Amino acid sequence: MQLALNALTATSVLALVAVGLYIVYGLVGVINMAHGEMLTIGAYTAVVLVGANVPFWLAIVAATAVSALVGLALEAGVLRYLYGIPGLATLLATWGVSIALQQALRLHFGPSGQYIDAPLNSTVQLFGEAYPAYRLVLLGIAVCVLGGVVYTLTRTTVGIEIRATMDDRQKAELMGIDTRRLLRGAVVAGTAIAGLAGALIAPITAVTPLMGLDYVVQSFLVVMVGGVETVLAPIAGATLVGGIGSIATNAVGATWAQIMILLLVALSVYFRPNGLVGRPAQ
Amino acid sequence: MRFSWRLALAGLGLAYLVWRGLTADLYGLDILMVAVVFGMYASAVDLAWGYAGILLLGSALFFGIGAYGAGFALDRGWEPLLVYPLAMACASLLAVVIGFVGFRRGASQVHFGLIGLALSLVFERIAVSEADITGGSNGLIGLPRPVLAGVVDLSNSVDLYTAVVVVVVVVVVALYLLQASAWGDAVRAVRMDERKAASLGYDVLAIKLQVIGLVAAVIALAGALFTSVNGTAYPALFGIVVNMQALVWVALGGAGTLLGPLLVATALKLTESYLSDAALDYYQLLLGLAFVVVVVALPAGLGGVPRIARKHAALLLDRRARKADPARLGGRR
Repeated sequence: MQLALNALTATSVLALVAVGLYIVYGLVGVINMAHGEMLTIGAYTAVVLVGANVPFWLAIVAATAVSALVGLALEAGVLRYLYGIPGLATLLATWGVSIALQQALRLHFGPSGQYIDAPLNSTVQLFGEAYPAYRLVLLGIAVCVLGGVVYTLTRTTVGIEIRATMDDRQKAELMGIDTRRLLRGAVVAGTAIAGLAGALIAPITAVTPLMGLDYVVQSFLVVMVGGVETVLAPIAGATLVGGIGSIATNAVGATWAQIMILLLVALSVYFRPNGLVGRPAQ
Repeated sequence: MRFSWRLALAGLGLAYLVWRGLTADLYGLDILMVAVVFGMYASAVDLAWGYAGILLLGSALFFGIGAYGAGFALDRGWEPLLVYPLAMACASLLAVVIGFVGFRRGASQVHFGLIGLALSLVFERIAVSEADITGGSNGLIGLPRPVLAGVVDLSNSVDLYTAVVVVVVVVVVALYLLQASAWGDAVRAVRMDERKAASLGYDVLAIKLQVIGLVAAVIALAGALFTSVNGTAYPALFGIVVNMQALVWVALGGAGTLLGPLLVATALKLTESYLSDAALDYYQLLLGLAFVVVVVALPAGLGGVPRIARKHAALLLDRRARKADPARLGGRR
């Protein structure tokens, strides 16, 4: 049971990170390598604020805001110039941003991990076992945010506009949708959610300048597995990469779990290049 | 014969290598060897990126395989002439397998790159965790220099330098000749338009697999030479910095020139080795930023600066001319 709950937590955190990446990739085909650093920035914001005796729950809100601001700067400063460029240039430029941010964080905070205490130290009796209450809260917040994202994408005008742009940007523009504004909004929202995820996991992991890298690579695997065709894709992908990954880590260790996931991803890309929940390959 | 900047640069570089070989101290030779090895690495990545349009995000995977292959050979006294080619073959095979998955119809370029990147990170972890075989996070250290076939002893830096420079020059010239051949034309055709290339009868998948197989072998060779010179193989050789810097070199040197990335890589590696650790942190920060600027503003690399400057100068002159003579409507672009 503990295992299943851990797997659920891992899945929901990864889905939070991946969803921003997925929307931007789906909208303009830009893979934002700097997305992982948004999570790192959120985590460091939480560390700094909690260190300054700010209440944890306030720090989470602030971390989300800080990440959103950095996301806005990233969009206005770099991404904006890349939408028209075909091919892989976008991937490289955002990777450059990512490395620069990592180095800047390392220069300021040092390479070693930083820790903060969880705001809730109690455990909850669940199915006859004690489970840390904080992880349940984390799970609850993540599920709520993901539900909000799915609701926005499927039930609101903005969501319909976003999905229309994902399908065909030119036609969407012809229908009078301001895709530039939409993109900026999507990037900012995606980075804000990544920052939130970073702040949420700060109490249960070591905060290091490189922590975003793992998440960004896994998020790509999520997008690869899930494809970009339905809103549920990132959640399905995160279940495979994060959930199964977490269970496998427990069973065979982190290294072999990684290899297993890569094999699964490779098989999935081979047999269903449009994504697990997308159309089958012709 | 028309004066060629490329030929002149190549000649100058070669002359520099010979001059340093004759005059430099042993420490200087060691540094220079590592630098030219990375230069060869950059040329290979450029062959994939600049000519075939395949982005190797995880090139360190192959570099690390070569390095650890050489490391095992030197550690246990296995014959380098057998083990180095074996490591190259392993890297080649792995690249072809990744390519087979990643280049499948419907899967995009990005898939190939990211599978490679993820794999290189997994290998880094394996190198750390399987400490019995790989030496853990320290890696294999204090390795002797290679002795070929039990006779040719390369433990002297001057001899090793000669061998490394010869190998690098031969490989880079071979890469150059390959891209100039009919096969090179086919590779370029694939990059420009896969569908048209296929309709002309080229087997696109086969050509891509040939490119990455070849490139992976060359990169593995670079890794093996690195370990032969340095006497170490460690997990970070699979890491993100190695992956990243190879692409920075190609972007700065100009993709599709072979020589540009070679020169940039060699020059940057030389600079790096004379910097202190503290300066290195800022150096990497700068490299990341330089990367963004180059990709966004200078798609042709540093070599493209004169052309861009000329274009802007021409535009400026044009605007002035139009101001002076409003009757003139059109104008040189």
